[in-house]
Amino acid sequence: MRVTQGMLCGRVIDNLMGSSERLIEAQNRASSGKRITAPSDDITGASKAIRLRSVIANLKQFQRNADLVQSQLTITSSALDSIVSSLRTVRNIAVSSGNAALTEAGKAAAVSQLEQIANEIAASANTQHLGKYILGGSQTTKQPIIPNAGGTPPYIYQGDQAQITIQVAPSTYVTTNVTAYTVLNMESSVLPGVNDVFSTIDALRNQIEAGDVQAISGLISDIDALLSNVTAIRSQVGARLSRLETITTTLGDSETTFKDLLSKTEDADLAQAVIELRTRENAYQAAIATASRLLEISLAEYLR
Amino acid sequence: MGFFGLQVGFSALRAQQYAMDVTSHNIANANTEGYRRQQPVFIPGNPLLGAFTLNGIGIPQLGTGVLVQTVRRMQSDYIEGQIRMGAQELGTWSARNQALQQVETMLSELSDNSLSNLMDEFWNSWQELAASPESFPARLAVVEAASSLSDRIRTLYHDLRSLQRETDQTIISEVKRVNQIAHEIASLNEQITRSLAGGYQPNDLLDRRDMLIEELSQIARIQVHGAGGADCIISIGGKALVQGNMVTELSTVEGPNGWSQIAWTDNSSPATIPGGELKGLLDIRDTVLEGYILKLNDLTQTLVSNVNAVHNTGYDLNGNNAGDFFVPGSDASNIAVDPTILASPSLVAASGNGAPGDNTCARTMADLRNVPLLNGQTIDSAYGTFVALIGSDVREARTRAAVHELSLKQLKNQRESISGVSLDEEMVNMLKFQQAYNAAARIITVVDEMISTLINQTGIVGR
Repeated sequence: MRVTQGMLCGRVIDNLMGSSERLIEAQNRASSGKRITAPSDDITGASKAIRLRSVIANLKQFQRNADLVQSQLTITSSALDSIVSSLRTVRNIAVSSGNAALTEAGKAAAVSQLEQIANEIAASANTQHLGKYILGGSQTTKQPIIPNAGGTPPYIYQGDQAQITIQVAPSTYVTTNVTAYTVLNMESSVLPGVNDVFSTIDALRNQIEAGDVQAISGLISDIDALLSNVTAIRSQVGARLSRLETITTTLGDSETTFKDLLSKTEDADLAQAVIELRTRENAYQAAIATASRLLEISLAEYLR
Repeated sequence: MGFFGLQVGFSALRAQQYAMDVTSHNIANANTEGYRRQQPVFIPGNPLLGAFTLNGIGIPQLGTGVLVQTVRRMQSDYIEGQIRMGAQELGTWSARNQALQQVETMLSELSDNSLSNLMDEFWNSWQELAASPESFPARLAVVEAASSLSDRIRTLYHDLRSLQRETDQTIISEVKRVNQIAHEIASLNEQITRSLAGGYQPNDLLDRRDMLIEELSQIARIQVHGAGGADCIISIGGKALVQGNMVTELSTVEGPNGWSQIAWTDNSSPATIPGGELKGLLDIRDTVLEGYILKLNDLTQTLVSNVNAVHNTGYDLNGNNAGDFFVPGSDASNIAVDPTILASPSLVAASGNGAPGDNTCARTMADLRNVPLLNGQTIDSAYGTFVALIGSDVREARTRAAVHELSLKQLKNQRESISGVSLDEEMVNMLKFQQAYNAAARIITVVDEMISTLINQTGIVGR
């Protein structure tokens, strides 16, 4: 083959361009740490990376949802705690007022304490989380329990019985709320034949004022039934919380797994990238060295 | 012999001098693009027949020196043809590659501002709203995410459209370039015809014409017939663009869809461009980009109509029946959050029954991402397919362009091997011609001395 200066120069330029292009590629990979920077670099890898990113973003959102439900249920649980302890106090008052030897002063003290407890229970039922009422079903913008201005029952429920659910994992929904309606047995909805908490307390107060020992001890069984209702709901909430904990852990685990997978899909192996960079640097240097040797040779050097 | 020896010597001097001129022309054009190396072709002069006799025996022939028959232009028509084919393939694919590369940059997938990321954020904002259905900030976030998403879609749409327009402009200027080259070739054809008629070998004119033809073949696939001047025909899609010194121009006329169509000027018939850069540009404008835009529109319309359908079933923060979320009927060119919602985000629906704490509408909305709405695909995966399609188009164009570039380079190398100027070779030739010239000059000296001997040294006995 006839070799001309044009071919030599062309080849030198091609080789230099080629090695510097490969060098830049290796440099990009090593410095960005990414194996794929555009879909065309690796179509299946890129589609997988996009899919994985979206899965991870979704998982993060589920995690946020789960965190929110967790804090709401924790607050619900503590509201239930205080209702339980209030009802225990009510029961104690009922028990201690059950003997005929109660003084007038003792009666007055018990009555005013009961009034205060009713207020406390109403306040617990109106607990808010992030500005919304959490025990009123889907009526989250108004107080679930309001005083009935001298009517019977003494307090009324103005929420609804909706169960709010949120997605916390792919195809997993949890109920985020309990309603004061069931907790306080409003309208005797849970315990037929037993009055709601406020009416029961009201009745107890009336009987203490009347000094009807018989009626008071009759009310104690109602209070017990109300108490066990609230405790049952509280343990339900506790069960939900522990289920959420498991879900949160699983979410965290999946996120780690998918992040790992994403990294394997789109990240460059650093050791390999650095070695590649080194090799290509050497190749580039070799190309430059050869070029300088090749280009300076000419017959003209040897002709006088 | 006698005086004739001078004549022979002179022919040698003239021929070597001519050859030296060719050598220096070669060296001068060593780096001229498109130059084909030239080679003088020597032939011995016509011999004199039986002009002398010696002792009755005829001396059959006597050479009369050397003639320069022609100056040969070193090239292979076969490789020229191959290079033209390669150039038009490269033209098609590199035009495609360039445009597609831009599309991939526009998508900027795998970055944080990618459409798929914004889509995730959009769906997640509905999840967030489902978790706090009575929240105003969560609604703001939904509106925010939806606005970013629609901005991104609109930007992508307009970027694709402007790339289409840019391609259209390039087509117009390429057609102008084709006409310009055609006129240059036609005028070279005329000069070549004249030169051939005068008996001159128009090597340098042929070089220039071949270069123009090569440039032309990169723009459009052409057929070349005839190597002379008047008989040279260059046709595109079966119709002659150049015939001798005549040119039939191409022109661009605005087509029904607003894009320029290529037509022949003489009878306004549409021109078929079977290959080359123009073909690549036409494909990109009419098929590839148009296809992407259609897909993007499909995706957007599905998103808009489904989101609106779900939103219409919901109730806003004030407990009223909700209207449309996106501007109804909008596509990728004008998708936007409904202006009333933009003005008051509390009109975003989360509740399915009017109760402020109900989240069924927001939940259904967030769940839309898992519903196969587009030919059995979810919106997310349809978009994923769209990105993969663009990726594979880019990859194909890039690979094909690289392959054709490589094979074209190899062909050009082969041509360079035949037609290129080798400085070493020219320097050796230079020495060769110089030495032959010196020797011829010496012959003249010797013959001169011989004649001088005859004239000055003979017939002077006894002087």
